[in-house]
Amino acid sequence: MITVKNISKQFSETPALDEVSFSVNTGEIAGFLGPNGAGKTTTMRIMTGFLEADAGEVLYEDKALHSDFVNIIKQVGYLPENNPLYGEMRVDEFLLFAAKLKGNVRIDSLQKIVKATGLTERLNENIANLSKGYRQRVGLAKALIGDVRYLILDEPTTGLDPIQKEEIISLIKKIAKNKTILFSSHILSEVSDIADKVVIINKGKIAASGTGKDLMSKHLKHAIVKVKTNAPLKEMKIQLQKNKNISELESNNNGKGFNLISVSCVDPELASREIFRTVVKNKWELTELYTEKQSMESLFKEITK
Amino acid sequence: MKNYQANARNILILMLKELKDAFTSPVAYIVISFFTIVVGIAFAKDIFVTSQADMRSVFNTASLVLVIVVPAITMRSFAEERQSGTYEILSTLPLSSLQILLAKFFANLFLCLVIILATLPIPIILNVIGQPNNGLIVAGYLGLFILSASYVALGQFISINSTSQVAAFLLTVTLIAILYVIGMDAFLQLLPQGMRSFFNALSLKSHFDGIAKGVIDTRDILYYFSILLLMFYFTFKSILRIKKKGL
Repeated sequence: MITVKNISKQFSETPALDEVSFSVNTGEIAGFLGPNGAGKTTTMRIMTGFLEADAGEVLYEDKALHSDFVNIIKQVGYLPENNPLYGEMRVDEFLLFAAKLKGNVRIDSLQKIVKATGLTERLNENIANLSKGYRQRVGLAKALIGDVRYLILDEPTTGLDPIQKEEIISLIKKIAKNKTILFSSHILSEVSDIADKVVIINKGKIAASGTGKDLMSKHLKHAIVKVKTNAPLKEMKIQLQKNKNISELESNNNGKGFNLISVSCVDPELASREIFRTVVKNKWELTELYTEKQSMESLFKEITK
Repeated sequence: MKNYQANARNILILMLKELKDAFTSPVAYIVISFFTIVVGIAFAKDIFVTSQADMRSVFNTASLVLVIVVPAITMRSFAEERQSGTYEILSTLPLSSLQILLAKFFANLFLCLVIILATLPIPIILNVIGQPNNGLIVAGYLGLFILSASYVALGQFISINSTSQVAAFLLTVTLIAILYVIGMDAFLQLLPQGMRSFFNALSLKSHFDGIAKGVIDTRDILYYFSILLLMFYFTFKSILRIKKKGL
């Protein structure tokens, strides 16, 4: 279990983190979300000892990171943002260097990591000559070396093309067994895809933490029903907003013809029936009517707005 | 004991990586060639111009050339890591700040030792053509080694506080040159009598001169030891400052 306890950090005059606390249980994959500059990287840098917190502490199980840094960090694999690597080193040299420092790394476990990360064919290449996708694999392989129980991955898919992203995500899923993982991402679908838990940080403070389902039911009080109709938005608003279930109507296109209208409501089923009745009553036409699936995007927008 | 062994092992692993990096880049070969050529010319000049061959001018020239050579080595140690962001890798591996500092110091010092020992053919030639005082030669080499250790410590302090290798090089050359020049006769003669001993005591050169003459004075040893300790302390503090403020 990783526990981040009341971490605060200030850079010059600007507070970067303000009493940030959250935990990731053993074996859990936690997605760390937040807009740019929210404090994700600073938190992760403190969790891996690269930065020192002004206040608070990071605990791995019950041990504070600063109390026995060298021994605790042996169990932590870290992939920093932008994945800096020693470009002049060969892949095998770099991985062996990390393995020697982690200590007691068996050659067969190293070979397993190389195989799992798909680096077997690239071991003799200079890191500087690798593509971004392969560099990311090298970073991940380095993070996995040793008796790693905790993985901290700072935007592991940034800068990768869609195929590389998919590969890295499936790689994380593959290596996730028996590990406690915290990974940050801008791509919310990635988080909802693999995370057991979501931690959302905004302006240096934890805005929400829990399973995606719990957070959605807690923070997303409104459902969205989408309707594609030729009804004039103004007229439809007048007729539908009499209904207490419906709170708001929005359309990106307010022109003539068919518009896709978003209807914000408490009960989507009730709202759909009401919309249908109104459309029929007014002899408008309707081509689509559906309830939008609540996504991590809407949750993220709601929490960080 | 186990802890001590683990510490030494980690220092050795990083030190070997640093040395490998140095020898896979052209910098090491350039500085070794530059140093041996300049020192060799000084020795040849002695033979052909003054028809005398001794190691005094070799050691004097070497101590001066190291003012440029050592900063070319130390500029990389921290500044390059900070510039490229790899310092984040290093400081999140199982290495303490002190281990990083010592590993980089020993790697740079070892490289200096290789550079200094590249001039060994000179005393070998001297022994072939004459009967030099080998005790003095050993003292001279010891002096060069201790002097370069101080240069390395000063260079590392500048390097940890720079994100540009060029800036680190120029600043280190300037700092070492100042500490060297203030002990030169030409400079000391410009000063009032009362200040001469003060500047002489501060200078890297004057303490080296003593050792190179074969006089191992505890004051000289203490001086270099103090420079090393002071620079280690400030470099270590700078590492901790990076932990506080980031790269």
